[in-house]
Amino acid sequence: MEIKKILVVDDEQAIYTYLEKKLAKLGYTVFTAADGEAAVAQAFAQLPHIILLDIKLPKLGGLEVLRRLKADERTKGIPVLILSAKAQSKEIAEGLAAGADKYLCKPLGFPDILREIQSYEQN
Amino acid sequence: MEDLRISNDEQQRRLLQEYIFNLEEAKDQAAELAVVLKNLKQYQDLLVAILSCTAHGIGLVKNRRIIWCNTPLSDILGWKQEEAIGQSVEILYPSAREYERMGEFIYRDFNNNDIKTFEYDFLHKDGRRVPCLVTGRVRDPQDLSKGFVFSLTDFTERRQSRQALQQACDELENRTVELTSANSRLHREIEERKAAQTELKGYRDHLEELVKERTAELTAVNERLRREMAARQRIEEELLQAQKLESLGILAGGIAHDFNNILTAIIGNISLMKGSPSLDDIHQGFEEMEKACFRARDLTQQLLTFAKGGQPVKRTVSISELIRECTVFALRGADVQAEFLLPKDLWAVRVDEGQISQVINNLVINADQAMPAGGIVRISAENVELGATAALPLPGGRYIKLSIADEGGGISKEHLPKIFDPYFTTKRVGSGLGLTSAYSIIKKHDGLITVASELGAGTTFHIYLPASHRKPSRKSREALQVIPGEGRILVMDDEVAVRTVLEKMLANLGYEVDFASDGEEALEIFTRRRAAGEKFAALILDLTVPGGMGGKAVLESILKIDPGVKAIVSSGYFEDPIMAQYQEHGFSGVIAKPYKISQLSEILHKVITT
Repeated sequence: MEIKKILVVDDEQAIYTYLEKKLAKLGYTVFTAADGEAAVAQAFAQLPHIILLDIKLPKLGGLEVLRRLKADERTKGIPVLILSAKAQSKEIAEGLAAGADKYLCKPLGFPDILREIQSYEQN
Repeated sequence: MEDLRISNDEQQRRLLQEYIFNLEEAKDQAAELAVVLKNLKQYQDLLVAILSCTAHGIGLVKNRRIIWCNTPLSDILGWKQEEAIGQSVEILYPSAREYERMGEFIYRDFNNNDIKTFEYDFLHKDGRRVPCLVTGRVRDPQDLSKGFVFSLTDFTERRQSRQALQQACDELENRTVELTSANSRLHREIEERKAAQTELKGYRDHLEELVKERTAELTAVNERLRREMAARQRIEEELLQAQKLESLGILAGGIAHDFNNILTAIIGNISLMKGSPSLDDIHQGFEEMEKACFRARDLTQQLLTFAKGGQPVKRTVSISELIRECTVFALRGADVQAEFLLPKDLWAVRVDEGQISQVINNLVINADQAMPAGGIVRISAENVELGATAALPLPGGRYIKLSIADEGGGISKEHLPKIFDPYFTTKRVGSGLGLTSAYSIIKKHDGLITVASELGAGTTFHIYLPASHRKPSRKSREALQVIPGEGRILVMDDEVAVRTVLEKMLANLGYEVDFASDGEEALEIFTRRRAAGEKFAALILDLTVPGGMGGKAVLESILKIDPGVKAIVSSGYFEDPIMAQYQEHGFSGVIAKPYKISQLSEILHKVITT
C-alpha cells in the first residue's frame, strides 16, 4: 500500500514537531494532534494512511481514541502504531487488544519508527 | 510502590525519547552545517580567484590594518600577499606623518556610503613611490570598524599619458592663441581691404560719372561729325557723278574710235571682196570680218564689265593661242611688231576668255601707243610656283606669269602709282579705263597685275593668273566644228532679228523650231505640244524679256510641268549672275550673245546628249 498521509498524535510538542519535520523532509504529508479529541477529529477529516498514536493524552486517552477509530467503518482499516512510554506487558496487551497494529515502546530513534512505517509500504 | 516504579520508568522513557530526538536533530544540523561550510569555502576560493584575476589591486583594511589583499596588489606594491595581510597600512606610506594625514583624509567624510577616488604615490617595498589611483568605500559608514574596501590601479602609464596629453593641450592652446592672433590680423586686413574697396568704389563712381559726361560729349560730337560726313559724302557723290559724266564723254569718244576701226575692217573687207573674183579671197575676207565682229563683241563686253563689274564666266583654257590671237588683232595695221615667247607646256588657266582678251588687248594697245615710231612688243609667258612667303601679295601655289614689254618712253615716277586709277590717262585718245578694267578683271580672277617702268627704257606689265588642275576644254575657239542634230527646239526671244538668224542656224543644224516672243507664249506652246504628246529636245530661253516673263521665270513654270526638261539660257547681259551660276537656276547650259553656229551646235549637242 502507498503511504502518503501520516497522522502523528502526541501531547509532547517536541516529539510531534520533530517527527513532523523529519517525515515531511522525506515527502510525507504530516498532520498532528496534541490531544485525543483532536486526534479523532483529524483522523476522520484527513483519513490518513497510517497513525502514530501516544497513549497518555489529555481530554481523551489513546486507548479510547483507538477504540473509536476501530469502531468506525471509515477508519477501522487504518494501521495504528502505538508509540508510548508505557512499557508494561499489561499495558501492551491492552493496546493491542484495543486494535493497535503495533505497539512500540519509547524510547526509540527515528530510523526505527521510519522502518516500521516503511514495512507497511512494502506490504 | 510498584506503581511508583512504573511511573518512574515511564517518566524516564519519556525523557529519553526527547533526548534521543534532540540528539538526532543536533546531528542533522551538524551535517547541514558541514555542507554549508564546504560551500562557503568553495565560494571564498572562487571570490579570491576572481579578485586576483584583474590588473587592479583589491583589498580590505580594518582599523588601518590589512585584512586581505589580492595578488595584483602585491605585484604593484612589492609586498607578498602573506607578508601584507595582517600588517599595518603604515608600511605603504613614506612617513608616519603621511600615514596620519592620509588616514584622516580617507576616513574623514565617510558619513555616507559614497565611493571615494583619489590619487596617491604609495611606497613600494623597494622604497620607490608608485603613483596609484584608489577607489574605495567604507563597508558601513555607521561602523567604521567593519573596514574599508578598495581597488588600486598602477597609474604610472596613465600619468605619463596624461602628462603627454597635458603637453599636447598646452601646445594646442599656444596654437589657438597664435591662430586667434592671426585671425584678428586677418580680420583687420579684411576691414582695411573693405575700406579700400569702398574708397575705390567712390573713385570708380566718380570715374563713371566722368566717362558718362565724356561719352555724352563725344556722342554729340560724333553726331555732328556724322552729319558733316553725310553732307560731305553727298557733295562727293555729286562731284563723282559730274566727273563720271565728263568721263563718259571721253569714253564715248574712245568707243567711237574703236568701233570705227572695227567698221573700217568690215567695210574694207567688203570692198575687197566686191572687187575680188577669187573664192579664197572672199573666204579670207569673211574670216577677217567675222574677227572684226568678235572684236566688236569684246568691246561691248568690255563696256559691260567696266559698267557693272560682271562676274567672269570661266572656262579652263590653254591661254597661248588666246594671247597670240589678241595681240595680232590689236596690232593690225600698226607699225609695232610682236615677239612671242610662249612655251608649249604652259599650264592651263580657268578664265573668262572675253575678259582676258580685253586685258591683253588693252595692254598691247597701250604698248603700241607707247611706241609711235614703231618698235617691238615682247609677249612672254612662263609657269611659276609661288611659295607661301613670296614677296607678292598672292597666296602660295601655281601660277602662269604673262609679261608684256614695250620699248616706249616709260612712265614717270609720279604717274606710276596712278595708272590703275579710273580715267587716268596721259594720252590724247582713249578713255583712261583700259588699265582700270584690266586691274579689275585680273583681281576677279584671283590674280595680280603689276607694272615696272623706267623713263626712256620702256614699260613691262606682269600678270599672274592661278593655274588650273583641270584639262583645257578645247584648244581654240576657232577649232570648233559644227555638230548637226535633230529634234524640236523651243526658242524664246523678244528680238525678231535674233529669231530670224536662229531659225536659219537651227534649220541648218537639222533641228525643228518653235518660236515664242515672250514667256507666256513659250509656256503656252510648251503645254500645247506636251498635250499632243510631243517633246522638245531643248529650250533656248532669253534671260530678259522687257515687260514680260523672263527665261528664269518661264523655266521655273516649265520645270513644274516637266522636271526633266533641258534648257539653255542665252543673254547679251553676260554679267548677270544667272549666266555664271545657271545650274543653280535649273538651266542645263549657257550661251552668251552673240555666238556662232558652231558654238550653238556644240552647246545644243552637249545639253541634249548628256
